[in-house]
Amino acid sequence: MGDLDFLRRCIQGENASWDIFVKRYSRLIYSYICGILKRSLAPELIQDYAQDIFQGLFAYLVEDNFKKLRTFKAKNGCSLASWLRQVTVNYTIDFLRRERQMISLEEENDDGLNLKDTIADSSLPVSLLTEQHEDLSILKECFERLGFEEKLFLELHFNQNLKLKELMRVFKTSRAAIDMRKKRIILQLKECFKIKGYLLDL
Amino acid sequence: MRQINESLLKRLYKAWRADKPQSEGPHPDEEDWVDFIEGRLPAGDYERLKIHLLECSRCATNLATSLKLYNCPKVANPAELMLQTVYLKGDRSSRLIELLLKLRGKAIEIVRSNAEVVLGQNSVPFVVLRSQGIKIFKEEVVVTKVVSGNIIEIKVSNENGNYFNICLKLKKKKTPSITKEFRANLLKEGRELESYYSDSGIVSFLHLFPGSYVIELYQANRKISSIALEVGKWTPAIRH
Repeated sequence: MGDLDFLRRCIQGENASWDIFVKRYSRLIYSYICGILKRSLAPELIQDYAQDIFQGLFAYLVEDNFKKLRTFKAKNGCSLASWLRQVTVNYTIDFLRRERQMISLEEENDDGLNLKDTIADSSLPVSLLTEQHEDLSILKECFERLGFEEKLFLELHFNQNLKLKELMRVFKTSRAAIDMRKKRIILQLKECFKIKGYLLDL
Repeated sequence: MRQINESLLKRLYKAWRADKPQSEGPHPDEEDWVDFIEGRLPAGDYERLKIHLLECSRCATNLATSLKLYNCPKVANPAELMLQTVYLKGDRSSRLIELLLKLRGKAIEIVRSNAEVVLGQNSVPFVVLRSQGIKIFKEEVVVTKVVSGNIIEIKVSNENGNYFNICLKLKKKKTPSITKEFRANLLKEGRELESYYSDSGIVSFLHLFPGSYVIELYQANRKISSIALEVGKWTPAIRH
């Protein structure tokens, strides 16, 4: 039975199918929630938040007569498990965005990541003054000169903290090509910075 | 010549990025992002999503998080969560509010809750309060939870450590007005103990013994929420 048929049975109220849905996917969903929270919260907070998000997410899937579950269409062969992963990610991060007033954005976990990194917010001020109170705003022009692909690369690598091996999926290319792309971008920036009197030391 | 290291380069990039306008939607749906990650999108859609990624921090963050979850280790979910999910199976339209309390003399301790605790003019998630060591309240606690466009307010008051009272109030989320008409059923061990229809926006259950209760809330014959309420009596640890 395909994912769509299976889901249709759940939506139509077949208890056995719903039992299978819960057994098959609840552990997956809970694991994804914990995976996200581990990057964002202090360990003692993870379980409580995970439980709240898990319960809220299941209710979100089924409320209004399965409104959310009905949006799954298996387009282009998308599997139910992969779709649920993305739904879980979106739901959990939206939850954290709502809560971010309440919890420390700066407290870092073992990976050196904090909630601010996980829920990147462009409204957060980023100081461009160095320790010597030097204004580096003139260097921003160098980013402007980059092409679209290069800007996207920096966005995902610098702003979203994606590793080079993780970028392979986004750019549909090999690891060697990703390494090469980073080198080219750095070279481009080095030249631009040099013109403006700065040495990019990478 | 001044040197720029990788950390400073990142800060420079973020500052430049922060000045850029953000897309306000529409956002691609979850299936689009899965197909993007798994390389199944037609070329035109693939390019469209890449453009969106550069314009929308929200989607970029969600995509990056999803990519980081590949090969995420599986953890077992607690049995109680499975029970709640099973509960949803039989009652798919409602939301469960959990409230585990202990009566401590004239005070009340919140042991666990997925609701927010009212402190003055603010509501704070209990998990946050607990992380700061705040869990004991004088005589009464008020918690709230947003469910189906309503704010459910639950006030539990301690009556001399032996009994407790519950007062339920429904308010509309968008306006501060009270939702006057709703029904509240109090159940213990699956049996209905009391049931009240409110036409004033408030329902109270008084002089209850500690124990496990479920309160079901209905609006227009539709269940909007269930409150799992467990109240115990605090017993001091014995020192030998």
